[in-house]
Amino acid sequence: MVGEVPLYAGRAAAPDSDDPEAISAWLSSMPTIGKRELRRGFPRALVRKSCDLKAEMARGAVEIIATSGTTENRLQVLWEWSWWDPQEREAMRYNTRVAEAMPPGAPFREAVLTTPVCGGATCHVGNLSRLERTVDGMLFLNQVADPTHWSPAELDRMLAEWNELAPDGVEADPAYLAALCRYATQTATRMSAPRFVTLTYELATRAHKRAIARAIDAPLYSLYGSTETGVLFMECTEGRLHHNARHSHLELLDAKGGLGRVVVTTLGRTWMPLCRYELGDVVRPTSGPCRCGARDEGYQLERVEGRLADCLQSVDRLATPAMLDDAIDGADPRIEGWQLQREPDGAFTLGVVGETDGAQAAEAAAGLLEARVTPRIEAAILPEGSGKYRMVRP
Amino acid sequence: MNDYKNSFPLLQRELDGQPITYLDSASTTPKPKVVIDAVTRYYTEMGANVHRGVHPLGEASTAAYERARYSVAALIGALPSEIVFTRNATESFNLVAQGLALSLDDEVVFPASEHHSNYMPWRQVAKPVLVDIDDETVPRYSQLKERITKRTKLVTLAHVSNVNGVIAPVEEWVETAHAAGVPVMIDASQSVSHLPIDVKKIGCDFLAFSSHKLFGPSGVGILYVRRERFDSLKLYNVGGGMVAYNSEDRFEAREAPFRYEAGTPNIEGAIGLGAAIEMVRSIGMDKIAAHSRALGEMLVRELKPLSGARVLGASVAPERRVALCTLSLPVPSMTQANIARLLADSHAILVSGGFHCAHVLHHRAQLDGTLRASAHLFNDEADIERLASALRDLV
Repeated sequence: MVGEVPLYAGRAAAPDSDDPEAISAWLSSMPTIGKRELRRGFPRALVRKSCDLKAEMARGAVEIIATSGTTENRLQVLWEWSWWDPQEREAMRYNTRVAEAMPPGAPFREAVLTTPVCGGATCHVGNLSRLERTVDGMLFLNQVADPTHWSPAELDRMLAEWNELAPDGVEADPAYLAALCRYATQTATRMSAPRFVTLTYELATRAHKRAIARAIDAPLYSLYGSTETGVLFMECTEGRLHHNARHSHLELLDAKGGLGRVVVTTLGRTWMPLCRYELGDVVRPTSGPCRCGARDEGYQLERVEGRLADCLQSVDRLATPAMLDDAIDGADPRIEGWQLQREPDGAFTLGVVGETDGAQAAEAAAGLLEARVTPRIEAAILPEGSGKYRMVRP
Repeated sequence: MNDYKNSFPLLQRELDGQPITYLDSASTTPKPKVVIDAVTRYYTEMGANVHRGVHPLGEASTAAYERARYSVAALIGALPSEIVFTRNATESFNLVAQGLALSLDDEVVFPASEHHSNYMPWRQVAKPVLVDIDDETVPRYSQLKERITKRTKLVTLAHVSNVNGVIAPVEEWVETAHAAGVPVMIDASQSVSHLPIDVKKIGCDFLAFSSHKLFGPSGVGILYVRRERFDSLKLYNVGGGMVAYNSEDRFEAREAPFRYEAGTPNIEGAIGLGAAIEMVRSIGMDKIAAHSRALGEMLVRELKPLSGARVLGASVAPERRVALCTLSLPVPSMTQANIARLLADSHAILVSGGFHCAHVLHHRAQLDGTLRASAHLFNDEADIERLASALRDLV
């Protein structure tokens, strides 16, 4: 593949062997790439010489879509349903409960609740009908860039559509689903229970999960990946995340303290193959047989810790967004949302949303960061331009 | 609190070799360096339009602009979706006046002491019904109940009078008006930078203020609309930015608040306002309010004994006023505006002189203009002593 894709020109050819050690050694000898390289080279430098991009796009087999990363991390990618769907479904079936709920070939009702960027409703086409928001059997519920701007009428419309569809499975951004669930709880609106909910697009906080669990009687599972890499991990019924190993080769570069930085090489991808692509996230790996019985063929994670750019270095350790969430929520579970902001003097302000002054949470965050943290009550947390939330603004 | 003086470049100025004493914050506040820097940063690092740009600079501009909306919301206890950016408080009143679709025989009740910005918009579309003021120009607040009729469509009043500095019992007015099924609009132009405000606690339906009286840039106003009230508020300006879809046969407006924000807004102004709000929040509104109350009390104490002085609202308790004091001073052959100019020319003391956009108040009080001194967080006792001393010399 490296010889065919202009971005990787000049790199050593792959070893003529299936020996995993030889392949690993070859990969680790190459430089990593990041979003900057993908943006600069897009799309020509990322297309195999033998592929006719224009023709495939004209045929509708490949399209260009934008990811929904934070402002600095957004990029466009080449994307095709024929690749996405099979690898996503394969990953999801690592979870036995999900696999039972969506047997191959059987009808499956799915609802998606995320940013309109991810849901494809970003064009200036006005409000779309339910039919127009249904793609390949998936109903995209949201049309507003910031859930804070959901009006009661909009919330009622989404809840009505949810209940009419009675989805078997739901794929959701946890921040968006938590907001919808809080409204459902406040208004005592029943939400039809799906057989499972996958939380993806961004890190789920403990408060998100609590708000969702209060309104929906369904198991919540994390699904981790990205638009450009495909699904990398799926959480099993025992709470571990299993590597979708047939579709990617992973390296977890040491980030100290038992953490790893995720580096991905896609496997078998025709369009936009990635070679040693650093995703920008930090994870906590684990090992040993899992009680769920899934085949042990790749990495397993205890959890995803968050974006590397949102991690903070305290005196002797890296504080990740997930660790901060543990500390903040552990100190004060009344907090519905939070965002940590570094001030010019090196101290931090902890913006909190909820029926609290945030003092205990600020104290807990200060203990983790070994820095001064001042709480501040906020009306809401501002999402980034993409609609996703940043937990730490370093 | 006077440590803050160094944060305001304008206050380092001199007039004819004398350092200025700025006592005109009720007209407009000076801008701190953090605000100037925020506006400059927009021009040097972002510079793109909002809600349109698909490139990184457009996204950065939009994020900074929307962050300002969140800051406004946090300051007054609202939701960001309840905050409409306008050009100034006057436009906020006009938006509601037009949006409520009133007819000329509908009644709008407000005190006779209101600023023109909260008087003229109602006069244009409905019948103003005035609550009387007393000899000190303070509204007779208890009259509200008898002024409300079946034709009353709105009650409105200033949280703090721009003339006498008195804090109105807004929560009581809201309770009275709501009991009669009438919505309430509050003019917070003179209160928002002096007092903590919680719109949920007040219970008002609409609230307006200007950025420039809150240390922010001019050209930006705020209209708070209680979420359920958007349904009864018709579109105001229309054009780009407020439309989700437009074709030859129909259009769809965007969701609130964006549907009321047609055209490219004052992006840098809003970002500057956001910086100003973060400054006052970091100082603490309770601390600012205590300082304001102390300076207000001192203003009355120092100016009331001046020979022949008529201080408006002088008998009101100190805890019911902010650092604003208006008086009429009899000086032969000089108008109140002349006195204000003289203070500036001779002492570099800057105050207001005239009618302060409240003609009806002055007519009713039979005053041919007044002199207004308004202090803020960067002022101290020495500033007020300087003013009192200069006026003592004059009379």
